[in-house]
Amino acid sequence: MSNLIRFDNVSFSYGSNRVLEGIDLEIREGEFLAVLGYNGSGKSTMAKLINGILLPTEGKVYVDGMDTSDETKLADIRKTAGMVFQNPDNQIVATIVEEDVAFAPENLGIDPAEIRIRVDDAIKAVGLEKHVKDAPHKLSGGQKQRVAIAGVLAMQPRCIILDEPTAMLDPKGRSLVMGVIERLNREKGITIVLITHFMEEAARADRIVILSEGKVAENGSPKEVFSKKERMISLGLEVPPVTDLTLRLIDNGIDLRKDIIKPEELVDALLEIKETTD
Amino acid sequence: MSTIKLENAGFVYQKGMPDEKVAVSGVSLTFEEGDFIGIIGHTGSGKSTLIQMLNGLLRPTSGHVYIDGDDIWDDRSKLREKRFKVGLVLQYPEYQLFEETVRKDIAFGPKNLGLSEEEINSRVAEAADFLKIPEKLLDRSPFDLSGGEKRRAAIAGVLAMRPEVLVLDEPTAGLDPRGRREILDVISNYHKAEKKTIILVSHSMDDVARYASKVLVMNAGGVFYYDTVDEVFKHALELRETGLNIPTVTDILLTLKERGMDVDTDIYTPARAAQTVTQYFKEVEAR
Amino acid sequence: MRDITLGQYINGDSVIHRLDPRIRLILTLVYIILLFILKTIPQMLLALALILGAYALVRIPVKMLLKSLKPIIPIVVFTSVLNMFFVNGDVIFSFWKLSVTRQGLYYAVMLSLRVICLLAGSSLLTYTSTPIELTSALELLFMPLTKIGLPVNDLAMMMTIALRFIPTLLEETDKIMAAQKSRGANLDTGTFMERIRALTPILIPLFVSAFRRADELALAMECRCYNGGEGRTRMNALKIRRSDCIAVVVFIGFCSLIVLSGRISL
Repeated sequence: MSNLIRFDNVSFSYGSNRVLEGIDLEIREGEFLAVLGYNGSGKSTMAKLINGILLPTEGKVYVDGMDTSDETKLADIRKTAGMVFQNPDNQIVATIVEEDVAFAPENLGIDPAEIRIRVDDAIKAVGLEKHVKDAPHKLSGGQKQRVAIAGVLAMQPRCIILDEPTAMLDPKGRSLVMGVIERLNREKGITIVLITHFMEEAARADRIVILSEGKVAENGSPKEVFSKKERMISLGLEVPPVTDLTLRLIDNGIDLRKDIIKPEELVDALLEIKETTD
Repeated sequence: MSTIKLENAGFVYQKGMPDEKVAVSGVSLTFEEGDFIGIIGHTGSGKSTLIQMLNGLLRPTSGHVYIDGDDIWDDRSKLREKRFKVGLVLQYPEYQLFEETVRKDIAFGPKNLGLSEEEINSRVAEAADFLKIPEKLLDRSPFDLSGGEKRRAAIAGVLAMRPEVLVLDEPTAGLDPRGRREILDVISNYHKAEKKTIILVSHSMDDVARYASKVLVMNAGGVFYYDTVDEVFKHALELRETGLNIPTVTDILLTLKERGMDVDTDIYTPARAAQTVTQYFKEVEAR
Repeated sequence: MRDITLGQYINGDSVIHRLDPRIRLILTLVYIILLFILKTIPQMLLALALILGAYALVRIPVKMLLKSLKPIIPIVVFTSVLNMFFVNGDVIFSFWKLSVTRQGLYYAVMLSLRVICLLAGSSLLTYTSTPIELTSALELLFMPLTKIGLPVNDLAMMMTIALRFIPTLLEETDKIMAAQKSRGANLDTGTFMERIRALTPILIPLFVSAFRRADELALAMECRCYNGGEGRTRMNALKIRRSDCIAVVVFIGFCSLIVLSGRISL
């Protein structure tokens, strides 16, 4: 698979404050990448560099081969890499769900009939068919966040960057939004860059990048990354409870692999041991 | 020290209107002094409404709220005084910061209590100390702090009023793992040091299990369970059936049990879960 | 408080709902002008019948109309009473120093009817139009003014955003008030100046939050390729259809009849 996004030795400073330093990173088309790191580690800055909201102080960011500092390509870059933010309230523009979803294609000057098709598709993709005509402020947090995702989907992006999309949601909203994100990745092949503070969410990605002090501190599969419990804690993070339990069981002498990150994996592994000992 | 007692308390929004909505109904329970109580429940289960009744922000549309035996709505002139016994930290409390400096902002509550300058200063220092806010931050504008610092400054503002009961509505929402741990540790230390009642509303069963001694599970505006953590987690299966997020390890143990492994399921920490699973395998081997 | 819906739109699929909002807006204006042209009570009653007929078409219960009339009743009563007593003319009866004249009574009734019709008419517009429809209608009607440099698109966008954020900010105000009350802020008692001062802890956080929201919204709009009004298309582009033309003809017809009825009867 080819690279959709490429960070080429990127640094970024706000005034004298160095936020990112020498980032080299490639994100493949169709990949699901999770970005972790404590607050202030530069995650959001990285997200904003992808679609040209911020421009690197040094180095280059490429989206589908387009240099983000090339102003003539800005609209193309933004519709290739859509962005969803943390606070669902502050990214919904219109007073009716479908009008909001139509906002981006309207900005792109797309033909009304085509917009209609895109809007209907996008709303269906996030499962909000029943709320097409609702006012956003009457929706739950999880529903609002799905409206925001639909609003980005209507641009038909190849990549969606989500900056802590579940931080303000309750568990139910969180799992619905995660479900939508995973489905878009698997069924539509949309590249996902998910910035999150929830280890369970990161465990569902193909790859995890951990930022610390503006640099890439870890870069690997969830299994690789989460099996280093001490390292995770020193980076201001934690391991998912499943991994925690697994590592404890290994300490107690039970023969398990170190890289278990999902509940069902642990259950299966333990049942397998039970079979053999019975 | 204070005890809060609810007697058949209920709250209806827009009462009498066509769009009236029952948020809480028929809740009778007592929050004993010195307890650390976790409240969990879905969004819309009535948690937020319930805690706003505890300090008289909302007046129950039915039933009574007693603090130390007095109905807080009996004498409206004493309502403010009663309210001060219960410190309420609402969701995203950093949005209530408004003063020029962090110090002044923390002092806002104590000032409203009508305390002397000296007393105010000592309370600000004490609250800042509890929340681990360094002295040099106190003279900065609250709007220049980082997200986690703002959150702690806002909590300090409530703590400085020295409430007998401290109620916190999802104090860790939106923070990173380190920030979440810091806040919860601070609250836990405060509880241990001051022996004040803590009521913590949380979406995270894991957090409640780790810090609280009692759990109130709300469902559809009523009390689903209210008991010690151990007792409540004996009902892990029922909790899971109502769609509540139970701690991940409890969930795993329940699944193991369903699939024929005889492990304890009233467990909610990774450490004890590891114990019961190890124990199980030892027994199997012994046989 | 959080359910103040600006222009209390009632979802529906009536003939009036289906009209182009521009037509709805213009016809409402025509109706209001009509109310000021009419001179006699019978004409006014016809105008009332016309608007009640429209309510019947939309199937909005009269109860709702009465509810929205409630707040203005004191004003109507007050001005009517003033008119009754202070218009000179043929005295019908008098007591103490006051006398009611025939003309005064007539004016009072006219005025009450006019206000009721006015409110009923404008309420019908807001009952059947979403704020967003009204905004697009205004945007299109004022479009010619872009030629003289008025940024109509941008104004319409501002209006839309304002409408979108009113409920959010009301909710936020509730929350901030609850938080400050919990910290002992006294918002309910005190002298006027004390109360004004007590608002600071509410207003500052509210402004800060509004600016933060504006910032984030601007960013989100930029990410969704917003670039000002130019080159935008609309999903629900407004189109005048045959039904709109029929509505105009029928409505103007009724209005003319009402105006003419005055000529005939007098």
